[in-house]
Amino acid sequence: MDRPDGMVAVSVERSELPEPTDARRDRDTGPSADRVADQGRPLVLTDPERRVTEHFRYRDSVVNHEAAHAWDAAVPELQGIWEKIKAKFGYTERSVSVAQPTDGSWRGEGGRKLDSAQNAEVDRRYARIREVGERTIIPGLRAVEAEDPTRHLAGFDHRFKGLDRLKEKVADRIRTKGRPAAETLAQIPDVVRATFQYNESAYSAGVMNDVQRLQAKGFIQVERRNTWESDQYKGINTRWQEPESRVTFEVQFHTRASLEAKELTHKAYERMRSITEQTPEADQETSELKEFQRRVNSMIPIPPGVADIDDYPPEGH
Amino acid sequence: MAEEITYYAIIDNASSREHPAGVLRRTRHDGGERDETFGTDLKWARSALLYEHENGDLENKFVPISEEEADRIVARIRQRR
Repeated sequence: MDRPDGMVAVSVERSELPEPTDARRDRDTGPSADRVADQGRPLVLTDPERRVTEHFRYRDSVVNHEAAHAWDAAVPELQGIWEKIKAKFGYTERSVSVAQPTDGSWRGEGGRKLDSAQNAEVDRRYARIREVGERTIIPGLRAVEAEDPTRHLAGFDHRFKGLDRLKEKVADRIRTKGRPAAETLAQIPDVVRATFQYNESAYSAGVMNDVQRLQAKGFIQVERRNTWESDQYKGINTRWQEPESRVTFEVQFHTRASLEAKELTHKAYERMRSITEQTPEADQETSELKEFQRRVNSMIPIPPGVADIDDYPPEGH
Repeated sequence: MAEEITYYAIIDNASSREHPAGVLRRTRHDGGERDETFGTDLKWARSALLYEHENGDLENKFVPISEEEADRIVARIRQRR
């Protein structure tokens, strides 16, 4: 509505939902000179540019809040389903440790094994990858993180794959692909890995901004896969190379809900990976674990604009 | 549902569609499903590679192939031994 003093009063559309935390925080920390009635409604904004900014800020905060609300409401039921699956198949929390031989070879779950030469090769290369990770890759990722306070690196404690898990992967691949340990390890992209976590509304633009920031740091993007349409795993995973050492690393891009879903389904995924029996019971268990993952992923809010993020390289290249 | 088997060529950065890194078969039946790869031990054994791919792993791609093509990959693995 027009006012006699030439100012324009803008009614910013309000949701019936409680005001999102993000909106409160943004208001508390953002510039407020033009906010004539910050506590009252409607807000009266004098600057057209500021009006547009406020409109988008408020719209985004509602998107974020509604997404978080829907996901948070679904989590208790999903946790209950997982508890039933655990009880049905007798899962326990104890970790299994496999007795190691004294000849330098390695033994893992499900009969996996590396001979002493393969095991030594993996140990040596793993130490080298960690060194490059600590010295170059992780500081680069931290520097990218510092460029934008609206998102952050999550799960930083898991920035290096565990050595036993890596050896399991190497053993599986040597059996299937028949290559030496060093070549096998060179193909595994996620020994060093990191995860950026965003608000739903900022996700799509934020991912592409961070891809550009990583490139500006000199990292080479090798691959990007958008799996937001998948029923088993939602997110964007990318593979990068540090140019000097040629060590590859993985960067995942998640929303809070997609990251929590990944954590909620992690034990199911671990169990799927560890099943080695070729029995009808194991087949049924696998199907039920996949169905659980499907159910969890069906509840994750899809960030606006995410379908526009293409895979890299494009299919056929 | 009758048993249904889908074969896949496994392709990574060191292989190609013409020369895949390996072969995987997914068997679906009324009671569930099972993935197996044909390995250097010359057996079909349970494998998590396709599940890893379905859960975001970037190492491998899986291209559906005919049973005849899968047989040719199996024969090549046997020859290499």
